[in-house]
Amino acid sequence: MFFKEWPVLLVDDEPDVLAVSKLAMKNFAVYGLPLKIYTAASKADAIRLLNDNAEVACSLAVAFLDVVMENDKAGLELCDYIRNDTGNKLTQIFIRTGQPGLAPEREVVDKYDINGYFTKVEATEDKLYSLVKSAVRQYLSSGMALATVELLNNLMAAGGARQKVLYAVSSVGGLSADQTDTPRWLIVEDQVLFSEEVDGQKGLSLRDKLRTLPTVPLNPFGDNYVRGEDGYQMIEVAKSATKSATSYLFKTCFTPPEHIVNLMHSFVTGLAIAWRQSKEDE
Amino acid sequence: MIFRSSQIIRDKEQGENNKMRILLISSSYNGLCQRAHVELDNLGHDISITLALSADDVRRAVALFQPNLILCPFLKEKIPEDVYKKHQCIILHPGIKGDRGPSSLDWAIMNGETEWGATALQAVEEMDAGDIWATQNFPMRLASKASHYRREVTQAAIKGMLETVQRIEDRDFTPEPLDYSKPEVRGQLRPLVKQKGRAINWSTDSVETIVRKINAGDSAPGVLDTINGEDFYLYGVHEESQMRGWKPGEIIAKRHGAICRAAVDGAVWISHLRRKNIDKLPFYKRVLSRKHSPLDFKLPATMVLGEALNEVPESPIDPLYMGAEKTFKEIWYEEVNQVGYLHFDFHNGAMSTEQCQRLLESYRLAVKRPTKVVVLMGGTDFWSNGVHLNFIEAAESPADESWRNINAIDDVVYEITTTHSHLTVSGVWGGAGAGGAMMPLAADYVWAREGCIMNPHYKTMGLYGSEYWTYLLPRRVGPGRALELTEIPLPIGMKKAMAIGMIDEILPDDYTEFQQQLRGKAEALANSPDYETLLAQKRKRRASDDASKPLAAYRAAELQHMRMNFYGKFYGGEISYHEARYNFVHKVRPKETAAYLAKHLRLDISRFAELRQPLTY
Repeated sequence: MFFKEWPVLLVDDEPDVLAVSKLAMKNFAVYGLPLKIYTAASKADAIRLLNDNAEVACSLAVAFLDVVMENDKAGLELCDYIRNDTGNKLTQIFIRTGQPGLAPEREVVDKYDINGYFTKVEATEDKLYSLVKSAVRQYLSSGMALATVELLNNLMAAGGARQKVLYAVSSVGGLSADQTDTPRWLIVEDQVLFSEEVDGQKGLSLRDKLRTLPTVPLNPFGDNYVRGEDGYQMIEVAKSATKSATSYLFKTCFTPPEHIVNLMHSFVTGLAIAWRQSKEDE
Repeated sequence: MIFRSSQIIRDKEQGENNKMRILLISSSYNGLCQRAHVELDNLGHDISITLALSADDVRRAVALFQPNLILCPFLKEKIPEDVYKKHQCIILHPGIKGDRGPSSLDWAIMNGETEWGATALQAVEEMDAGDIWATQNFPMRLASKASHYRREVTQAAIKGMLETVQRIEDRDFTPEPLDYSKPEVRGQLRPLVKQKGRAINWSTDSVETIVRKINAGDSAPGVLDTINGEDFYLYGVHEESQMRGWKPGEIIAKRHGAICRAAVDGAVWISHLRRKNIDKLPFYKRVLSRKHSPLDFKLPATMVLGEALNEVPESPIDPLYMGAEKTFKEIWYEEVNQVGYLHFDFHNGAMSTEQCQRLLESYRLAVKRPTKVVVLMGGTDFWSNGVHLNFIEAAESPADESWRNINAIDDVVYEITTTHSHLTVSGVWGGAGAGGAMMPLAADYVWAREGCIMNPHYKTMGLYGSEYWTYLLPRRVGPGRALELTEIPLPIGMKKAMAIGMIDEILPDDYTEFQQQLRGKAEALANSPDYETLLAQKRKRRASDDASKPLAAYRAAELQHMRMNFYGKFYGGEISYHEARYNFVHKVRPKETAAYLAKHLRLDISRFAELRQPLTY
């Protein structure tokens, strides 16, 4: 949700293929954000990059891997490395081969955890366009779904202790060094959480400003989503017998699609319930 | 009011049998305070800790905990008068009998004392002038203040503390008033050492004097000096026996982050520098201002000086250095009777990416030698403290550097875990923390010094942790204990570590005896008739462990969590680690004593896990 661009990795031992693909993808945009293209000329090169660069290792949206590089299966081994050695199940991996005879489609799909297979002949700019676009969408959806489940799990595991609830959501409400462009506030019952780190007053006045704008109802019980200017958005869960009034106010570089808003709504609802049910420590 | 032990005992008897309520007041939860905590806890006393953040904090802790005894293992602040007048307060002072003042060890090193000590004193109005409960002396070494503090002072102070506690329990001891007319009272009141008194005169000071001066101010405050017209504090001094320069003070070589400077009669290595005098911003202000301030914390010298050293030649050193000459070396190796000893003495036990890579290279060379056992010796003060937080903080992208560093240290742990050619031993003399406390578990045997303190947890840094801890720790202590050790960020003493199976042997606290026994045991292992059987058993176990879950899977799962710690993007990513690291590196004091230490806050122990988040600053 707080992406400014989509990291994409191209691995191929032919410099021309890398250059042409890079050129073709230069102007692709998904949800209005550009791609950030990383390239590697071999499996070893790619592994070096994965070990060296936290963005590639941690937030890679899409990878296109050539098969035959250092050996006949280097690309497949790289896929295995990404999935199993680094534990990354989210990146959308496509196998792109010039010698389908060496890595037949069915065999590869059966054996490796990939998201697609195509030959270099099939790799037209349009094909790349549609693949990148759908892959980033898929990456964002899966990533958000998993992150939401994890947050809800942590809120459940907090077992009614306020400190633990706070800890569970500290990653959402806080502010980190590379994210000053995308600030976030969690406001529960008019109290800005982690307000020491961020300007709590600014959060409250932004909330009041957003409340004057037209809202999108998220359910029949008063929860709503509102989108303001400059990328500021807010999801509000209304106070009820089981929920505390909770607002999640944030700024993103792109407009999230409806199903992502719904995922975030589930998280805010989870927090509203966990907060209502939790007690302060004596 | 004069305290006598009988009085304390009366208070004590109102409590449980043989159990005192002891409050530790400390400026920080440092190594000595941790050791005091562990030792008193072993004796069954009820311990609570408060940091001396303000007089009111101390008063509040005393009022809530109602201690029978207050001990101050490391205190720079003054105890409020109403506290020491109403309660028995003992100060552990890093000096001999009669020594007083805030710079005890600094003076001892600068004056070239051959013997020094630690003394347990009654707290009174006049600083360090109270009655003496116990005192312990030790011979001085050629080492830094911090090194003496971590080794000799800690050992002597703990001995003195335990003696004092025993004397208080025994009821019949009257502490000795400070009397300078007695011949054995050799100490005196000494002022704070100022930078003026520490300053190096490069044109006249000999190597020996320079080493003494830097040692006396290491690790704090450092010796202020000028390099290329800029002011820096100097740390980490090592004598150089081969190289010479023409102009004293001039930088004549560099090696692994350290710089070598010429002196009138030789040369010295200086491993770390800190730039002088730059404003300290709170973390959130720094984030909001997005100002890239110059690095004003302790870092390897070459990193601080950067391009100014372009012309200075690199002085290479063998990755498996076996020489005896005096020089700057982080990794060295010895070999005796089929046992190889690999030392890795990194400053403060922190291991950067590059240091891990070098250690990996040296380790690979060590296991290619025709030996049977490899002993991982760690450093003189610390075995290891895991990733290099200062280095990460200084990196252009701390997230990238964190990622590289954790992977590099994982590679080392992997190599040790999968060594099939040798039996491996971790010979743990110095303390170990975070990943550095998991790493020794990669060896087949862990033999640790009795007084060693380990902190096998990552939570205070807001991290999940890697170093294959999810394999190594439960393998030794079981899943329940592994959870306890990692979720409640408390230090563990070796008696407990041994009882739960985290280590295999306890070795003596005395340095010489430790070395003798360690080497004796390692040689016995290498020459054991069971050697081949033990090696075969180890290979078999590794193979069967790998069949049930490969090491790669453990690492992948750990890194998955670390990824969120470093670089999560879906819901924004964690702030805890980046903030905790900033505060650690910039030595920002917490606003409150962590609840897992401050028992007086009377929390339900069963809910301790709630409090595992990093401190609020």
